[in-house]
Amino acid sequence: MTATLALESGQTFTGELLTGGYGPIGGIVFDTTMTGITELITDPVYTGQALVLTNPLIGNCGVSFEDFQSERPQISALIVSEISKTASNFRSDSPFSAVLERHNLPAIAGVDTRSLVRLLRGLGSVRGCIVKPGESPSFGAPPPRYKAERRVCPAVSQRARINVPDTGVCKNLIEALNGLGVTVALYPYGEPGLFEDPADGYLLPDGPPSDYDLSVIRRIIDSRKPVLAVGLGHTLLASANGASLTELVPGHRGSNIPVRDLATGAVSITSQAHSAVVSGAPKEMISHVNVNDGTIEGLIWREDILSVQFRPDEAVLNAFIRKLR
Amino acid sequence: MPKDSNIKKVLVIGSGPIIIGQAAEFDYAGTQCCRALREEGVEVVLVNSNPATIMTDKEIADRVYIEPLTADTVRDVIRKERPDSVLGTLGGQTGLNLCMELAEDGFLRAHGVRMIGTGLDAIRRAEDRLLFKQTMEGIGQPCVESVVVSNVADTVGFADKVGYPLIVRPAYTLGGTGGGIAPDEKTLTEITQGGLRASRVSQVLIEKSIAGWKEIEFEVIRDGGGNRITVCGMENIDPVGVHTGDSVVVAPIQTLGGPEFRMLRQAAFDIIEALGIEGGCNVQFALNPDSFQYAVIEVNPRLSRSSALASKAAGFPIAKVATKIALGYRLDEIENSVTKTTYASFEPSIDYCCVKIPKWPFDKFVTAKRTLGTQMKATGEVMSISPSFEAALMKAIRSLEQGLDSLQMPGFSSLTDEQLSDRLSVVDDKRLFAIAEWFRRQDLSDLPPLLDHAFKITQIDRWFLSKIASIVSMEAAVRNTPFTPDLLLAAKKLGFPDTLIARLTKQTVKEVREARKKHGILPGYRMVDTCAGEFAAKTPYYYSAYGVENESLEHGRRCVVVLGSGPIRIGQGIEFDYCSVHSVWALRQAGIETVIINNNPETVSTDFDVADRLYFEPLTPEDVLGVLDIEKPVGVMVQFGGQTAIKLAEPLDKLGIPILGTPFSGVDGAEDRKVFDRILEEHNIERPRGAAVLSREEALDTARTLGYPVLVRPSYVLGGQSMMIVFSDEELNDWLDQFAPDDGRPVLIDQYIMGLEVEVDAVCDGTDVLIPGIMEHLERAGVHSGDSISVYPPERVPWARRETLLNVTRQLALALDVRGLINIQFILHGGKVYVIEANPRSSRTVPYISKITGVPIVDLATQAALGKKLPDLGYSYGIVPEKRHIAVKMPVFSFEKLYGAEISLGPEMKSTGEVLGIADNLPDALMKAFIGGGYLKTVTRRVIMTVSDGDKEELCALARRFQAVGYEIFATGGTCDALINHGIRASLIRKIDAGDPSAQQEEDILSFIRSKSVDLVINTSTGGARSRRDGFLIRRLAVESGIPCLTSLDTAEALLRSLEHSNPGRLDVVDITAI
Repeated sequence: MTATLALESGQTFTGELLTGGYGPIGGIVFDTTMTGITELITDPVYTGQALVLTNPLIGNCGVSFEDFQSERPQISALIVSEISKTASNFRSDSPFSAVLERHNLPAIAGVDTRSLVRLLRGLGSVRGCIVKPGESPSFGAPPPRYKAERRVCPAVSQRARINVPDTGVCKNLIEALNGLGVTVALYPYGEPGLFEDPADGYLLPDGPPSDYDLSVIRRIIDSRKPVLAVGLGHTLLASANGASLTELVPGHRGSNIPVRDLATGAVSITSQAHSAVVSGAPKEMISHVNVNDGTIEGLIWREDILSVQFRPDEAVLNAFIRKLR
Repeated sequence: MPKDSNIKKVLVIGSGPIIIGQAAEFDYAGTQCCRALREEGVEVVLVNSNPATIMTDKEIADRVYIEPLTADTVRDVIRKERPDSVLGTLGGQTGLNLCMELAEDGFLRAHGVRMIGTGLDAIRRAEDRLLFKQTMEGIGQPCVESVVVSNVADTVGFADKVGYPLIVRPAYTLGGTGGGIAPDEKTLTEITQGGLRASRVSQVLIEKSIAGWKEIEFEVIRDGGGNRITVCGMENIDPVGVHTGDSVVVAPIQTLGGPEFRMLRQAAFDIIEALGIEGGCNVQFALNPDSFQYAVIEVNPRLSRSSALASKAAGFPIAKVATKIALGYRLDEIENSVTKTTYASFEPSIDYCCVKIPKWPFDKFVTAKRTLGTQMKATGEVMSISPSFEAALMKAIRSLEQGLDSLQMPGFSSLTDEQLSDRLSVVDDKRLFAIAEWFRRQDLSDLPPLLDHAFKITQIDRWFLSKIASIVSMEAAVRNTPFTPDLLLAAKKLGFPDTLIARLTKQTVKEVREARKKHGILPGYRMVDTCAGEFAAKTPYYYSAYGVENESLEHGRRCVVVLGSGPIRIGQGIEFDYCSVHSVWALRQAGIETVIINNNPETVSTDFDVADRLYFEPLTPEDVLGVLDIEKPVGVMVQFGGQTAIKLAEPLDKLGIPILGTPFSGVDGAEDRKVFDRILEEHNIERPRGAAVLSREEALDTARTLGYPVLVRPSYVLGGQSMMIVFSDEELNDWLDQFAPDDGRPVLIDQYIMGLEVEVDAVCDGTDVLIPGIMEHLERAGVHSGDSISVYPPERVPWARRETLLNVTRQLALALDVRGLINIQFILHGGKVYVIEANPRSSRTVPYISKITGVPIVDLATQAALGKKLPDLGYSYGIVPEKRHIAVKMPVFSFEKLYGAEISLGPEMKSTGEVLGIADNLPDALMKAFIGGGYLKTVTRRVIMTVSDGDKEELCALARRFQAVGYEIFATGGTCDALINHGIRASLIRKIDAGDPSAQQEEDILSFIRSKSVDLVINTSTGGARSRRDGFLIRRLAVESGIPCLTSLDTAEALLRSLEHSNPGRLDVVDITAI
């Protein structure tokens, strides 16, 4: 079915609606990640956001359920150039579009995504709507909230346990921590168990931006236990500490973002998905910066509170583990 | 870390002549490297034997030595220039090996020269098979089960353990030289012997075959601080088993999921960390398609063909960044030259799909085996860019200039199902087309079982197969359903050219084009920007796509489009890229904006900062027109991109596009035999007599009238294809049986004049001509000019004849209305000057003549094409006074890589590259050229002679001289008798036994060659089927055994002259910037 993607800013793009229905799709963002698209669309950080992929050839490997970063695809819509009908990979459980179909997710293909990205890079946050050609769009639907989980993900041989207010933690991070001997316990944000259950430290994970009660963060800080904050957690921690945030246009969304560790000078290529960055934090607390635009990518708020904007790599995780008892 | 200030003068070693496995990519890398060094204020000393390269320009390096790439030469250059550092990782395997040799024998240290970039230990860990294996085992990276051997006996035990098939890979060789797949013990022994010979250190790796696994490559860069990035991941469509240089390659990687991708990327990082790479590196993996099991195939600790491809595919200048790293910079200190807002530590993100297809020389070598394996056979490659894989594939096929515009291969439709089914399992250059034809015969509505079937046979990933099926479905849709604008757009999005759509819908190309225009179905041009559109990029590097926003906006400024020369192939090599790039530079210097269109990822011309705008596109009328519609240039330069560019003159002229320089009428005048003959007649210029004939009777009549020998060729081919000199009715009949066209097109028969061949490149400004230099061919007429040894200045052309050459050149250039370059080939015979052919375009001799004479030929030609007069440019008309130095251009061949190819020289060109020898006397220049070309072996001082009856008399004189310089002569029957009768000592060796040549028992000529107990074979082909076959076997074996084989007595004479009068140990190196 031919469909039109209408932006709140007035522009339209033509494509073909492959799955899901017409209607508003919320805020549109683009991500330049080339491989591992299943992980992206199921990453809670994209909850309620319509995702444009710059890689034009999507779904070549189909979908492998073990790559899911959460229970389900979290995006509100997918905007791409092409989705492969053939799913060619030994791990493939399903063709790509079948997964979107199952979750009744709108996917529009055949879009000139590069043109759309060139537009979005200057617009900042803009909402969109998929309509039948000629019909007028509405942009109103509030984005669905992330459904937090309550469960314990045990490490095989536990060295430590951390509690997590689940703002949108993704599976790869849990597994990486489990692999390092850390049991990860998830709680809906602010739930008493977070503080009452035993914990050697806390993880403030990434997730979709939302208005959270910062007193929870302050309580975590005041617990005097080691904290690792990531992505959204990084900005929440900053806000709780009184630092200001700035919205980047278009934001950092991709797997190719160079970040310099100021302590060692080493640069690593990181994966990120955010628009908000911490600005105006005390200089001596900055541990990492973005090589391209110089924005703050990491802060050390206290010797045992590590905070990074990017999906943490081995070096960051190990540094955190060392802080845990 | 900022730049290391101790580095002030760097020696850069190039890669030498273009051969299979080492092509233009190293000129690209080397040129970028030199520019990066000079940008940093570092003085550059360059050594390369290849005169056709841009890197050997004095604009690129401060000191330029076009000298043989031997350790001795490089030592001389180091002694003379005293550089403080050497950068050896940019000159391919040749440059790397030289660097290693000088480092290992302590010469570099003794002369205070530091290897910068990736160091000696890292190179050793990557290149030495055993050390590499140990290093990989040390970091837990799986290698393919293998054993390193230095003799044949050791292979057997391993074979017993892991079983056949086995893969043989020699150490320190390029393009898989001497390697292969062995299905049994006999083949294993054979290949191992060859491999040991090919390896610098007589070492080969025998490994278990993992044919059928996916082949994945990563181009990674690491700086001195341990920071690293992936520039680009690439996937070979052909699974492991086909050399990556012979594989169709796609970028970015298409069929890996996130976890597999991250696993291999991390492995690549761990590997370069363990090796200690400082610069660019290529890591190749094999990945089991059914699991996470993988193996490291190999690592190239240097710039490579793949890195050139990755640079162009990602828009990331790997050579430049590697050079800056060698100077001490860190990745996060090097600006991304595309975005100017990011740094080199930002991994490129790609929002399109690139497809590379190799260009194979099988059209030139009809007897060569077309099957593909671990030995690379391609001479060059094309790349294309598109949002869809289908369109990228279709564009790449068009770019190959093989007379095909799609996946339709003429002749395949008439194969039976069974024949076609057999073809699917043959891994050769036609396999993609066979797969397409197979899909064409299936019901594509239920695709998955078909994909399974095709995958089982080909091991090509189902996703790629599904894309071929998608193209085939579109062919059917266009052919069978009503022609609507939507369908037209859909076909264009899959890369269907108008010619194919016209054929499928039974319309004319013009009708299709008009339909497109009417419905606004026009290509848009997207930018390659390294960041997938995330940032506004500054560098204009474009590719076409349909149904997309056009980013190359009309600018209304004066610009000129220069057409490039497409893939490197025999007959059209890197020289034409040199000419295209120089034309661009000349235009820019004249203040004119430039646009280049080309599709060869290996070249300098497709570096994004050469022209003001680069379009990576096929060079077909439709694809070029698309660009012209946007750019609206004041004119198009067609004379610098070889045959590829000039053949576009006609379609462009017909559409009213202004051709700069020589008008189409002049191009046509030179090509059209009738017109050309008329021009020659009008000016009383002689040419060999000849005629076009249509029947065998006519052919025999004409030949007898002209008198044998005659030159015979089909009328429709270029570059001397199937051209032959025949000496009798019998040979003419033979030729007609084999090559006579069956489509009613004529055969051309010309008088063959065995005279002195002379060649001239001239610049004409419409008033008069300038001849920078006259070149003389050492081989008598009949050997293709590209395969002849060419000498400047001429030795045997009398002064009076030079005046005639100038007059004829002037007359022809003016008659053809040449504005720019013209290349004319003459024969001097019996006091007369005959014109063989004239081409109003650049030629393969332009770069070397420019360098040796100091006349900027392309620059002047470009100015002349713009309407300038030579006197206004500071040059007078006529022949430029000769230089003191002698330059010898020597052809270099790649026969050992092309199993079954005939090496005997004739009118059809066979060389892949060239080297230059420069000295102040001819014997020394010849000696340098022979050394540079790899013709000089002085181990046993033995020569085998076996020549045709007609050559025996002449041979005797040469044999006596060979004896005088200390050679021991061996000869077969008739040749031996002749020598002995002339009082020359010669030992008889038996000819090849009748019957199966591999079954001989006693020592005959073949086993003699095989045992490597000779330095040289001189063989001229003879009449008669039997001796022709024997000659073929002798020549092949010589080539495969690494023994120089000369097939023209003139070449042998030239070799003698250098042996008699030059001492290879006492040759001075010449800096051409100072002559």
